Amino acid sequence: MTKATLLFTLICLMGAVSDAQVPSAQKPPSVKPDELAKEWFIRLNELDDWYISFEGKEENAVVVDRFLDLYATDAFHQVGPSEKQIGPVVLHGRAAIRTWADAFSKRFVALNYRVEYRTRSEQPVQPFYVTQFPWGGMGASTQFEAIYTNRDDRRQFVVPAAVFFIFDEAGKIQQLRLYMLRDEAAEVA
Amino acid sequence: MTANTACSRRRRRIERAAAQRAKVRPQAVVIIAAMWLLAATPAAQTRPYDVLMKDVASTVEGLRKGLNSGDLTGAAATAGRLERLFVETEAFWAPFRTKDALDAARGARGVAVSIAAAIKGKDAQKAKDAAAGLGRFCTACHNSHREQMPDKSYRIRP
Repeated sequence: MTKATLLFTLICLMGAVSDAQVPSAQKPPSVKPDELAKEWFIRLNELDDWYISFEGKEENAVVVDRFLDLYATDAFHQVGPSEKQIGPVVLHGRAAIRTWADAFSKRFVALNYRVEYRTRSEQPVQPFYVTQFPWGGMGASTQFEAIYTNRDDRRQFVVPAAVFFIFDEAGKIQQLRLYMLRDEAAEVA
Repeated sequence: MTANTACSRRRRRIERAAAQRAKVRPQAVVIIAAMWLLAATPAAQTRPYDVLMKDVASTVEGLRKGLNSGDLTGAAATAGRLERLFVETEAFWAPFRTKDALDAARGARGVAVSIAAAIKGKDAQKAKDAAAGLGRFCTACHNSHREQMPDKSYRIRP
């Protein structure tokens, strides 16, 4: 009886220890792709949240770093063409994405990229379309309104847009594709 | 014999090169000094923006007092100083190509010029009227680019 109790206690303890020793890395982090996507919108909108020093230095490094934290080291970030480049612009790796984020941060103010609410039966929701990949990682996409003001001439625009994310298992962006419907852009008077 | 000739040729080449270096050196020094001066001058003219803005505020105040007290000679000098301060303000914003700030600085400079011109024409009332229009340029720029922090200090918005 004593032996059986001792053995049972030992087994229970072993079980508890082995449970405790399962590293959290083995378990997929409890990240929700829609929450990750929302965080991307928050940090993108924060890219205008910086100051010019009294000595005339543009101090945007902190917000750019915060934005880049969302990306995996070897991430792809694809945006549409601009006046500086025709065709799709694919940025690979954090250094290239930093260049884009830095330029974006210095070019626009009053950033308000937002996912519009859909409401039915008195239930408002910001729709994010999410998927779980069989190889691990997650995907999310949504359409949104990109509202921004040019920093130089202070003209404000609204552009319908869409974004597609592929996240790795750690919740970092592996791939992002941003579509901006420039043809449907409207200037805010 | 051949070795001696080669040696003397080499020596002459070295001497020529040394002579050329000696000729070039003063020119190089002048060029470097000029480049240094060019690079140093704008930096020397630039001062922290908060210091500049405080200078603008006290100069505007001085100008109003001068105009109200009828001291037109003093007011003329102050208006000239104000014009230079707005040139400095414009220079701060120029690298950022921020239209509204540049427009405000240019507009305010234009007002300062108008005040000086009115004083020169001995028209105190016209100078006062022009000075009254200065505030709108200050307000426009401050609304867009000045943000007050919780500790009551200010920072510059892009």
